[in-house]
Amino acid sequence: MFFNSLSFAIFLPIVFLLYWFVFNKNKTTQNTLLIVASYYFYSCWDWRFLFLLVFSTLLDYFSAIMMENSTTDKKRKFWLWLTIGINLGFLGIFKYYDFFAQSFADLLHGFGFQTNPVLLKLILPVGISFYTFHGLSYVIDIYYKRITAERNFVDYSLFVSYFPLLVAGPIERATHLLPQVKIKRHFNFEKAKEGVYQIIWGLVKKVVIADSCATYANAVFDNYESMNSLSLMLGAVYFAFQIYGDFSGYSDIALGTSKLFGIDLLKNFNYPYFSRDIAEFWRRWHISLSSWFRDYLYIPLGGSQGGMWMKVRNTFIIFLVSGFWHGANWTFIVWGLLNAIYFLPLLLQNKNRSNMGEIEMGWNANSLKTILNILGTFVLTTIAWIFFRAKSISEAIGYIQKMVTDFHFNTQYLNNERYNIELLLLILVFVGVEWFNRSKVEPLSGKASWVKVTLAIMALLALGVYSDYKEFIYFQF
Amino acid sequence: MKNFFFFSLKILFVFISVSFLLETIYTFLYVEKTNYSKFQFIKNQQNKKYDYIFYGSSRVVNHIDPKIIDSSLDRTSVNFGVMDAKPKDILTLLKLSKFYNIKSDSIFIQTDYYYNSTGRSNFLYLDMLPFINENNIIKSYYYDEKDYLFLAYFPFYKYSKNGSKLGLRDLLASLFRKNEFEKTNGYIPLNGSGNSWQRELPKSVFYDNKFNKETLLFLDANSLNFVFFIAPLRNDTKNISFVSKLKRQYSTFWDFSASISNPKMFKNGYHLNDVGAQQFSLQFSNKIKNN
Repeated sequence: MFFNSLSFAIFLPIVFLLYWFVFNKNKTTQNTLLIVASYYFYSCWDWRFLFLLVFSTLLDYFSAIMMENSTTDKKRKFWLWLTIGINLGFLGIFKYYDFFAQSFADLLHGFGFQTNPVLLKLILPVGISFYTFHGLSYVIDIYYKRITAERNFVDYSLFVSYFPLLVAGPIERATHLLPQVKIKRHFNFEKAKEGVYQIIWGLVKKVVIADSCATYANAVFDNYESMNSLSLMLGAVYFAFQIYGDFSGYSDIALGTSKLFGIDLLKNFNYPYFSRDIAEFWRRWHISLSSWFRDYLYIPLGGSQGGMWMKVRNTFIIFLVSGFWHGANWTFIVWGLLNAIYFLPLLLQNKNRSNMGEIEMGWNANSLKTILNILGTFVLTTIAWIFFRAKSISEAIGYIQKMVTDFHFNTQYLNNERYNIELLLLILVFVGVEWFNRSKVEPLSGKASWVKVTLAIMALLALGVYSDYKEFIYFQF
Repeated sequence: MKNFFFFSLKILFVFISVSFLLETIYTFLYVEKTNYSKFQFIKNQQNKKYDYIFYGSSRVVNHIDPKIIDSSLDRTSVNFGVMDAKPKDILTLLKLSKFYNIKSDSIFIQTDYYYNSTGRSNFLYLDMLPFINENNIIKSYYYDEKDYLFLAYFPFYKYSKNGSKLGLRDLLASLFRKNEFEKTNGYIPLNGSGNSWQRELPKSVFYDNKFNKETLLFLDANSLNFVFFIAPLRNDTKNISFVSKLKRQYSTFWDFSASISNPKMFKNGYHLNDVGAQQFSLQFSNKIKNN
């Protein structure tokens, strides 16, 4: 069941009505309904993986209690590493086993040994990377005594399996979500209205922007050898907007849906393509994952407390792991590495926190510099996305090579039966809308909201892509 | 909650109003202001009379040049072939020809590997969609679709679902497109040769295709003078014995399957190029003359 499907459009109002009118007696009834709804939502993909979700929930729940009850540090450590080991073990088997087995076989082949690796070819349980990290953050927080273990199993289960965030985040923290789950929610009209606006805007991002861009990006990437420089540049830009529209659109729908149930989720995107440098980009893109890595990997590794060498080492580790988190393919690792390389000059000059404030614009030289910085950051990010989108590293290199050596900039007719430049107008309008609303969560609220909602619905109907249905990219991670 | 209820109703109202508005605009423009498709070309022949009308798939669209037939026989003919047409499409076009009062002395219906098919042409499906509520023949064409009710009655659903072919961009482009079939009486030439795409005919005939049966009943009921024929096939076509099996299904069947032997006259395994089509149109004229 996808957020942009008819089944979800039926599911959501039913759960909403039951939640506020039938199961609104107390927080336990509210939470129980949300758990049942979440398990149903998850089972729509594959009910067999429900067992994995339940197992992961039970494991983290009991480990946290055992850890808290432990009298010695040794025991606490035991429970921590047991939980981490089992959680990452599942993730490793489902997501990474085949990759490592194949890579090892390829390595041996390079030395002249022929091997036939045993590949499991398992289906990746949807959302496993998200709910595993979700649970890990909880047990690590217990270990460091930042929070106390949750004794109420219903509340804890909802924290792990809450359907708006179950399959593609945002990756929540116990400190943020659990306190909300532990009290009865009362209906708040303003919050619910915000939620509806956010859902509509998320749908526009997904169905109008991401899915339109996908048809062009696919047409270019799948035939890059016959494309000219202009098409290849545009293909990369289209993919940059595809992945942004897709993932931030998903996050908007998740956050908006959750607001309908009176629960706030962590913000996941903050107009990342308006970043003035790469460090700022990573503070604005997939915020819940970036901050997860900062808090549970970068800081435990020493963060920026040691010397410059340690900072550089930790930064590279974070980006490489982040790349690998996205998928078991060398392309994701190179994507992470490239971002680390982009980050390095800022780190060495201690400028990685120089663009923390809001973007101020005016008719002066500073604003021109800001615009150039934004464009420069976008170009760097887009180049990195080529690795993210390509099927292999050689394909990505071939793509970039052709892009910078072809030197033909005429319009090309693509195999999606469209000219390469046709989508630029839509993207420019989208960028304009985001730019002028960058201080808000979404652009529909505020003055003339009904006009804006009408235009958004019109865009959804007239410009949305429904014929060539595409699921959310981040579901595969 | 009451406020939210009214707020949700307003959103729903906006959604439905916008859907109706877009449906009205798109349908008006497609029906009244565009003229680009083969279906529209056929519809434009309303109340006209021809000596010969040709029905069939791309193997009629790209094979029968009415101008050659007209000049060699001193008669009038028109090509009503539709890309990817199947028995269901041909039956629909026959019914629509009657509905639009398009008369003819004889009709020629191409038949082929698609004799077995119970599917439909995606081209005709899209061409007729804006006209779905125009008459019951068109409406019934969509009865087999899983989402028929949505296509026919849910405002703007048909345009959203087929956005890549009937969407805003296509609508705007269609407004400026001329109907290329008008100049050629429905014929579209193909150029080039040597495409290695080879066709494999079915091994057997599907006797119970309801559309073929209904077509024969329709032809009899309307006392139409008809001939079924098969267009030329390149000599590397597999399972060629299917043609003789097909022949047995019809009382009148003209077999042109081996009438063009030069592979250079074929664009690919199944379609003649313009040179081949001219040759075939002449052969067809001669066949009519000799009958």
